[in-house]
Amino acid sequence: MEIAIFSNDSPLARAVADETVATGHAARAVDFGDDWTADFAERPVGVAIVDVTADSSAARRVSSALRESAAGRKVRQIAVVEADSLGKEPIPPTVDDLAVYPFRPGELASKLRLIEDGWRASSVALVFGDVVIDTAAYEVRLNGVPVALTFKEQELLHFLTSNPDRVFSRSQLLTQVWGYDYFGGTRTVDVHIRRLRFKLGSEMESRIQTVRNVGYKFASNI
Amino acid sequence: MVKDAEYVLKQVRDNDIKFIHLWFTDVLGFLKSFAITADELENALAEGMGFDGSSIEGFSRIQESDMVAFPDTGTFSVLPWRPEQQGVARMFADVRNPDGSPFEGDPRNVLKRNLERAAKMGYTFYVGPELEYFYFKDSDGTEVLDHGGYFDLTPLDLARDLRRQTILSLQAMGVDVEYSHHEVAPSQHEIDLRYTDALTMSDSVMTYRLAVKEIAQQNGVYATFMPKPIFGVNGSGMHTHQSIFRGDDNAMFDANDEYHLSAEGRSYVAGILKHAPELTAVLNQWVNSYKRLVPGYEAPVYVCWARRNRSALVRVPMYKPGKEKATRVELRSPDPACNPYLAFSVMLAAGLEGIEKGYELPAESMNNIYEMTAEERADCGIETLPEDLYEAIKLTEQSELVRKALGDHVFKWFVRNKYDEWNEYKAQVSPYELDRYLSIL
Repeated sequence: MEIAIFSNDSPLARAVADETVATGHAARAVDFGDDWTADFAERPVGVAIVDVTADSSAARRVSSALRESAAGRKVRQIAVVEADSLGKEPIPPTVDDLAVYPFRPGELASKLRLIEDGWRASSVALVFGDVVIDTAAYEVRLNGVPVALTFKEQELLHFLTSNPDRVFSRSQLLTQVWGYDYFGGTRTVDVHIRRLRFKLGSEMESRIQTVRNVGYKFASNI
Repeated sequence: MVKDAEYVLKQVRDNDIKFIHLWFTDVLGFLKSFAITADELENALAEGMGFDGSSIEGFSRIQESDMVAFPDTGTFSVLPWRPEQQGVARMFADVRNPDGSPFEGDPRNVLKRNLERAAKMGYTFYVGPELEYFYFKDSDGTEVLDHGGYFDLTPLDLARDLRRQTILSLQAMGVDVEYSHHEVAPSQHEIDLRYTDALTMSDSVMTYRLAVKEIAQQNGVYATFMPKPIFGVNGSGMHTHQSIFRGDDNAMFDANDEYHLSAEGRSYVAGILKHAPELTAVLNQWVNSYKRLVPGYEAPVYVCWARRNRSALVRVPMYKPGKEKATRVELRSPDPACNPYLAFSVMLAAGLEGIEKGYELPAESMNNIYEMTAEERADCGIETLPEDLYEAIKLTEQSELVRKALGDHVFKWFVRNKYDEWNEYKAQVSPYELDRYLSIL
């Protein structure tokens, strides 16, 4: 995992960079004024550490810009503040965590490991018997073997499983998954439901339920 | 990047795909393809791939030949008959002008325009075609593989294996097959696709024709969709079941009608019947198509409709209780060598015209009209489909309906091309003439 450290070449930033490298992660120094968007899109970073002590208003700007950009949206943000200025400088409201410098031994390493593990854990989103739906990796596995789903099959499955036990009409599903400007009618939904049941085995077949004269629902319990 | 493009890129990586074929269709219904490498894909998804359209049938324009193919990510599929490692995938592409506007000569775009018109009227258009075809030993002649007949289960039948392989390939590509069987003529087969919206179905028909031919070739035989390859036996048709839905409801169904047809359903059928002669050149676009549309081989010749009579041009299958979704009309004249995008476009346009203008459904034809004399048919007001391509194209040329459905670009090119084909054909001296005349004249 690569860590970006946003600052203005402050002594604090350099110290944090050294500690980051010592935890076994790569560090990338980014100046508050740098245009980082293209760089982030090309070389993704896992965590952004934002130096509040160096310039709190610049830190606030960078933090919200990260939240709003496609390249930075998923990046976890840690604000770092020197113990002396704690409570004097405003912490950007868009960060995920706060760390006070000097760090306690092992503190930074633990925070980074938690984030990294959390990423792995959160990417296995849903398990239904022999089927695992890994939303982050866009993958569905049946008995550990990836199932080849089309994009719309994947989207439909994701929509149903993330709204369990609710009945949706075909038109609702069509609008949710295919959008308004789609040419095919509600028949498309039936076709995709049938393929999902076929591809995902008997457990999912009984969970993806037809509600007669209404539509479909995903049963969380069977 | 948008999510569906990301997903395609992921599938390309996961499946070790090295080449992606972008498919589109020329005006005559031939599948066109060009390959790009996986490295180029990301760019192609974002900006399309430029190509020179000047040598594609029906695309050529004098001033402008630069075109851009935009992959339709929803159609991404691995080609199951290519190697599994370093495999090949395909996507259908929409053809656009360099300025990004849809190219009016692209049949897929033509169909989309017609579907948009239906959508504005509140309808979704579903079709279920039944494509027949022949297997021959090779493409040089018509030597058949078997002498089976309708629904025959022949042991050690190579064709049965071919059909099975074809169906598995189609399913792997997301094309749903309803059933398959041996057809009436020797070596003639049919695989029926499960009905779906007309755009998806057109793509499926293109996939189907290629899959049938690919699998045949891999097994050392030849498959053909030529409408009438052998004199004296049934030709190959593409009976097309059609229905229009409003949301989840079949707009053609009415429980209280004697035919279980709604007013819209009745007018739709009436529209198809009234305009059938002028649509024929599009549904039966080759000189050879008209060798199939002759009496005696279950192909329609007369413009009429019926529920039971399978020789009628339009059949409205009998209603089965509880099956209102299956209420539909079956048009029996199209052949499998048509361009499906254009064929579905003109059928729909005729049906919608019937609904818009409130056409009255003519009386159901009860007798076997093939046994009637020409006078009897004239008395009943039963028209005949065009005799040959020349008659057909003359009717099409006069058709405002077909012109509107196809758009000026495709319409003009198509009419000119078909006159050219006819003129070339009519100057030929055929084996029939030599057999018949040479020794006596």
